[in-house]
This record gives sequence, structure tokens and C-alpha cells, in this order.
Amino acid sequence: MLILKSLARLGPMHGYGIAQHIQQMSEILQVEEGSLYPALQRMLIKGWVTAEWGQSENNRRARYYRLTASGKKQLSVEISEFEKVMQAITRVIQPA
Amino acid sequence: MQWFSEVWRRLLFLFRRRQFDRDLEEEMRFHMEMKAREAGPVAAQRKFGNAALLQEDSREAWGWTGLEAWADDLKYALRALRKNPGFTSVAVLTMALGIGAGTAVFSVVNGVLLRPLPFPQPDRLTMVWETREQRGEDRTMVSYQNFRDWKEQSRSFERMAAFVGAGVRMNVGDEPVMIPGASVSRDFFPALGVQPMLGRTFVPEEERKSAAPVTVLSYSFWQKLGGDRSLVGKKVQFDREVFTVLGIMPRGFAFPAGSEFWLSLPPDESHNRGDCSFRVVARLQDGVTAARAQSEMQTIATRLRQAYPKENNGAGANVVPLMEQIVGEARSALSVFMGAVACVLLIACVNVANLLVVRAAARRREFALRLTLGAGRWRVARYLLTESVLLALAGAAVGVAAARGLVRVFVALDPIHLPRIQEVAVDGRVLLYTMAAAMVTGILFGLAPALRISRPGLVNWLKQGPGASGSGEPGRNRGRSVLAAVQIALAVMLLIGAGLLMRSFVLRVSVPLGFRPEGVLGIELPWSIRQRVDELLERLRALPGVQAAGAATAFPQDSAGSYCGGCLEIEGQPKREGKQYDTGYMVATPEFFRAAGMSLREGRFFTAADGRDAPQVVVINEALARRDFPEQDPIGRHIRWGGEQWSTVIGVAGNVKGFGIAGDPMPAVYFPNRQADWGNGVQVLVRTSVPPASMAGAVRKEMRSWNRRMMILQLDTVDNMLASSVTVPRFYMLLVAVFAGLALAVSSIGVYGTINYSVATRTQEIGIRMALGAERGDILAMILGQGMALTTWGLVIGLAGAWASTRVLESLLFGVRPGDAVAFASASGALALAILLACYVPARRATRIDPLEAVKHE
Repeated sequence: MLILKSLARLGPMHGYGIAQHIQQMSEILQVEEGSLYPALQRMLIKGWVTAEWGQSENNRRARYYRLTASGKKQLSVEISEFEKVMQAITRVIQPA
Repeated sequence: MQWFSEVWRRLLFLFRRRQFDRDLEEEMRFHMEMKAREAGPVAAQRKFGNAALLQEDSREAWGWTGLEAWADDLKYALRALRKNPGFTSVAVLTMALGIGAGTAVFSVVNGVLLRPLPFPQPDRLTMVWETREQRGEDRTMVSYQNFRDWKEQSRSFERMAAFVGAGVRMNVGDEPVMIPGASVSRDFFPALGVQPMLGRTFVPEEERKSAAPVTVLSYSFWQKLGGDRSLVGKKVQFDREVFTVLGIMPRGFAFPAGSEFWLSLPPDESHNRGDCSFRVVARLQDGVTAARAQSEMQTIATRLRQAYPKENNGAGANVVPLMEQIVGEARSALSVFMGAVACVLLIACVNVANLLVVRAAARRREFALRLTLGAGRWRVARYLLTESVLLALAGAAVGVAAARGLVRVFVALDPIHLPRIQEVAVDGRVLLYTMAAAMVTGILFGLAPALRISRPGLVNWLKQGPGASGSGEPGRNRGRSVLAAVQIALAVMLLIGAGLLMRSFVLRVSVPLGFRPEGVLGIELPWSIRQRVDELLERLRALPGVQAAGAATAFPQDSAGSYCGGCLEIEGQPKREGKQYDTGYMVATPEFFRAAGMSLREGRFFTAADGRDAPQVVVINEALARRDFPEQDPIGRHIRWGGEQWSTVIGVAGNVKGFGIAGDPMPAVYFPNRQADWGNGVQVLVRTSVPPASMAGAVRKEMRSWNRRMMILQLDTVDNMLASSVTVPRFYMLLVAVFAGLALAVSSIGVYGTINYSVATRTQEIGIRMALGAERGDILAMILGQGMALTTWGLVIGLAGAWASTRVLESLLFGVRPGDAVAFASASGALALAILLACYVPARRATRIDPLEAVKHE
């Protein structure tokens, strides 16, 4: 969801960019950056993202991931599900 | 759609794998470099995680790793098998043997037993027979009147048709031959549900006696007549009659078996229920079972029995599904073959399993290494199974190739005259069976080593040296011993089967013939020349080289003469009925006995003086004399047949072989040809002073010059006829003997392997024993004892199995009971001897172990 959201917000990005973005946005979330790549592969299979090689900001070849229509749909599904869970949790932990 | 494009992406990935790897690597490198620029290489490394593992994960996401691993297994298995050609070829050949034999026999079974008959809804078709309780017969033919009553009164059948065999004479080249066919009532083709390929079949009007003669031809007959489509509607000449061809049946349709043409059977308008010469085929109504039809028919038959007590005395009805009717006796023979084949296949499997266990044991270090390096247990087991299934499939391929050849030869020879033999071939269904058999056997015999080798804890093996002895693991040896004992058990069962068939064959061949077949030509002629047979014999006798010429209603070696249980009456004794009074009816010319070389026990044979106007006389055989005139002199007594005139017994002839089943000669009466109705065909015997085969041409020429149109149904030496009469039992015997031989050889090799392996693993132990003072004889006895223990177990199981299963052989046996002690004993003896030999070689090797060497070895 985080990857999808990053791509939705900033448009096509390479893997490093996604990792950076997630890190910046969420500060406390510590993920093994490498685990981004297996996740991206799974999204490629599902057809949520597409990938193509492009030029990076410092003129290196980098693979850019772009959100597809079905990826957007998936994102909204996941967000709404996440919100449901969050609401549920909030209701439980809020003092009465 | 979503699903489809996902699969498409996965497939695409499969073909661009290399590029994928490159892309991923580059992408990750890029990531690392960017990170390193920011936080330094060590932190980048730490932050990123294990790159190799992550790459692996990414690849796995595409879901092909399982298959790839399998492909690796396959590649590796192929390499491993190729590297060990000795093992591979032995294993593949053993499997080929089992599977090839299995495929060949299954092809035959499939063609004859399993494949449905070539009619629509064949399971609805039945034959309806009459039964005659008092004579113990359950499938006798039916009179037309009974058939008509059945047809009118029964509700179980959609259609019911009667048919009777017919033959017409045609000239093929110069020789007139008989073409077999059938006369059929009008429901025949509709009941079978078969449409003609060309033209039409009979319409009801053509059933009338006065209708113009019409015929329907078989495809093969039509081909023989030129295969011209315009033949339909034209006339063909059969014998002296001209028939209009109505239609051509489709290729392969030949019912009753061998029919080349069909004529319309006019209804029998007489009221004679005594002419029982029709067979009845009927199609069951939808939803009616054969059992229900049977009970209805039985009710009708009972009613008819009350209405016509004389003709239908004791008559019942018997509804037999057509498939069972056609396949009938072949079923038991074929199931015996299937059993034999299953035994051979099992033995082959067990043997290969043994080979694999040995091989796996030799490679256990390799597998232990794999296990310690993190290979999953399932992964190792799967590899071993891949290897064994590969072996089985290779064996199957070789086996199927061999089976194809075998089946072709078998069909061409048709040694046991199986029904539907033309339909036998190695087809898709057979291949399916073979594939299934190969897979199952591959998994079966691969399972034991696969499970054993992948068992955790065997990592201990790693610690042992390459030549470590295995005597510390009795469990494994026990497994191998069980396998060897099973082999022995199976082999002993086959050997006993073979022994039984062999004994029954020997008994069958050694039944005294009661006549001298050497130097005799046998000629089979049609019934129609019976009136002029004396004239023909006169001419044959005039040929140079002919010593005697006679004729009778049956050759002495055949039981083809007619017989009857209630026909014979003896003056002064009450009339009798029943199977135990079955008596053969023969008509013979005076010189028949001399031509056959039969012996005279008492009185005299016929002479030319026993003519039409002379006193009525008969010759009886010894069996009849013993049954009906015990302790009395039959000469001069009076007997009669079927209520005809009384005849005086003038002689007692020795029994001849053919008359009777199971070796007991059947009581028989011979009537002189000038005083009696000639029943069946005319069988001529010509005794020659030169080798009879050299006379065949001259005899044929003489008969032709006497009657150009007469058909010669058979002309051969009686020796040849006798040989072909034992073809079927000899074939059974040979086949099972071959299987038993294979089983014996393969299981001996198996036991040899087991003992050999056990000796090899016990080298050290034996060395120590010898060092401690064991004699060579002791070691020999110990190893042989081990083999004999195996044999004993195998024999016990095998004998019990044979005792339970040889009953299926019963119908193939002659004069031997299934539990025959001689067969059991000799099979056990032969097997024990073979196994002893197989054990002796490794046992000898054990005695030659140098104790010093063996102990130093470790």
C-alpha cells in the first residue's frame, strides 16, 4: 500500500526513490530497503504497476515504476480496508 | 480476464528470465550506489539486506522456481543414469520385460474383453438359449416355434431375432470353397442396431418363402467380389441359386462370427418343435435388466413346457449377455495371463526396487551432504522418485516397442483362436495403461529408497568413511529380505501354474490314442456326398500306394460325432435319460476301422456284406461295453438308437481318444453306413504305404476327377491334425512357462543381489569370525542359511498364494486338479535349487574373504 501510495502521489519512480520517499514520509517505519524489490515483482505480476527503463536525475539508467489503472483501484481498495481496520482499532483503544 | 493476463505475464517472464535477472541486478546495484553516496557503502549494505536472498525472493514471486527445480532434478537424474550405464540398462531392461509382457497381454485382453462390441448399446444385447435340465445343458439351440412363442409372449425385449448358420459354395480359382454366412429372421439387423453401409437390409415381405432370393453381403465379401458400389441391386450366383444383392454391411461387421453374407430366413410354418437348430439374439428394452428378462423367459418356457410336454420336456430358457457369450471361455485363459503378467511385473518392480536401494545406499553420502546443506527432505525424495519414474518410463518405452512387435505376431498366428482377435492392437487405451503402470511402478519401487534415504538422522553417514560397513543397520537388510521373499513367493506361484499346465499337457498328449495316426491322410468332405461315399472310397483304394480307405462321421481324434443321453436303448433294460448315459453316435464304412488302425477287442468289424438288406448290426466301443454290459458278453445283444430298428452287436472296438472330455473315453456306437442315416460330415481316412503327405496331391486329383464340384473342406495328414489339436494347450503351457522362467530368472537374480549385498556389507564381520576360528564351511553354511531362510519364507507365502489362486486355472487343466501335489512339489524344488545356486556364488565369495584384509580395511 505504501508503495502504491507513493507512486500515486509522485508519479513514476525508481525503486530507490520509492524507498527514499517511504522513509521520509514515515520516519519511524524501518524497513529493509531490499525487500522493496520482491514486493515490486509481485505487483508487476498482478498488473498493478508497470516498469520501464529510463534516465535518472543523475543520468543513470534506472527502472521506473508506474501505477496502472488496476493499481489505482487496488490502492483505493487497500486504503478503504486499512481505514476500516484503523477505525476498529481506534474504537477499541479510545477511552470511553 | 485479470487472471488470463496474469498468466500471460508469468509466461512471458519464463522466456525472458535472463533479462529479468540482469534487470533486477542492475536495479539493485543502482539502489546501492545511490544509497552509498548518501550514507556510505557499509550502511547501505546493512540497510539493504541480503541482496542474493532478495533476488531469489523476487524470482520466486513469479512462481516458477518449483518447476525449475524439477527440471534440474530431471537433468541431474538423466546425467546420473547415463553415468552408470550398467545399472541403468539392467533396470530399464527389467522394467521393459515386465511392462512389455504386460502391454502385450493387456492389448489382447483389451481387444477381446474390455472393448465394447461394435454395435450400438452393446450391453443391451443378449443371446437367448434353451436349457435342458435333465441333460445338464444350459445353452442349446431353439426350435423356430419356440422362438416365435418367446417373441410373441415376452415383454422384456425390444427385438428378438432367430438365425441359423448357412454356407454357400463358390469357386475360388478351380477349387470350390464354402463361404460361411447366416439365414436371419427379419428383426436380426434392427436388433443388432447395425445399418448397412450401402443399400438396405431385409424388409418384412422378403421373409416370405415365395419371395425372390435376396442377400446382404459383408464388407470383406464385397471386396472379394470386386468392391464395386454398383453391385447393390445386381444378382450374384451362390451355388445353383441366384440372389439379388440388397446391401453391403459396414467393414468389420461379422455376426455370427465369420459371416460373409446374410439370407432372409423364412418362418417355419410346420408344427415341428423338434428341429432345434436356431440361435436367438435379442435386444433388451430400456431399463430391463438381463436378470429380469431371464425370469420372464423362464416363466414363458415353463408355460411352453406344459403346453408341449413331449418336445419341450425339461426345457428352460437362458438369457446370456452377448459380450459374455462371445468372450466366454477366453475369459478364464486371459485372466490367467493377466495374473501371470502381474506377477512378472511385480517381480520386475521388486527387483528394480532392490537395485535402487543398493544404489541409494552407495550414494547415501551424497544425499546426506545435500540434506546437511539444507536440501529439504521432500526435495531429496522427489529427486529419487524422479529418477525411478524416469527409469520406469524408459522401460515402458522399450517395453511398448517390443509389445507392438509381439502383438502383431500374436494376431497373425492367432494360436488359441480368440474371438475378436482382429480387433487386437496396441492402441491409445493400451498406451494409457502402460503409462499408468509405468508411473505407478516407478513411484512404488522408488518410494522405499526415497523415504529411507531422506530420513533425518542419516547425517551420521557423513561421518563414516566411504567404505563403511553397513552391518550396523539390520533394518535395511530386513527390508531387502522382505522384497526378496516376495519375489520368491510370486515366482513360486507362477512356477506352480506352469507346472500344472505342463502336467496337464503331458497327460493330454499321453492319453492312448487307440488308433495309429501315422501313415494316414484325413479328408473332410461335405455331408452331401454321403450316399456315394462307397464309390469314392473304391476309387481311392485303386490308387497305387493306398492300403485302406474308410470313412466315418468323425475322425477318430475328434469328438465331433453327435451324442445323446437318452437315445440308446438296450433290449431288456429300461429306457434311460441323462448326462451319464451320453453315448456317441458314429456311422462308419467297413474299412474305416482298418484305415484308422483301431483295435478289435471282440467279435468282428463291419464287412461289405453288412448291406441294406442284411441283418442290422452295430459295433460298440469298449467304454460302452463296460458301462452297459458289465461282466457280460455284449456280442449278440440287441440295441437300438432313437426308437429305430433293433441291431445286433457284432463287435467291440478299442476306445479311441477323441470321444469324450477329460480323458475318459465316451461310450460310442458305430453303425454301418449302408444301414444307418449318415449324421454329420463325411470324414475319409486313407492309409498309405508311402509317406501320406506325398499322396496328398494324387488323392486330391483323383477326387477332382471323380467330382469336379465337390468341396474338399480339409485334406491333411492325421499326424498334422493331431498336432494342431494340442496347439491351444501347448500355447497356454508355453506362455505360462515363459513367464515362470522369466520370474525364476529375475527372482534368482534378485536373491543373488540381496545375498551378495549382504556379504559385501558384512565383509568385516565375516573376517572377524574367521579370525576367531570359524571354518570356511561354517561361513558357507551361514550365508546359504540366510538364503534358505528367505526361500522358506517365500515358499510358504507362495504356496499359500498358489493354493488359493490356482483354482482359476481349473478350466484350462486336463486330468490334473489345481492342488496337484506333484506340481507344487516340483515347483518348490526347482525354485529352491535355483535360489541355492544364486546364493552359492556370493557364499563362496564370503569364504574367500581374507580375515587380515577384512579387519585391516577399517
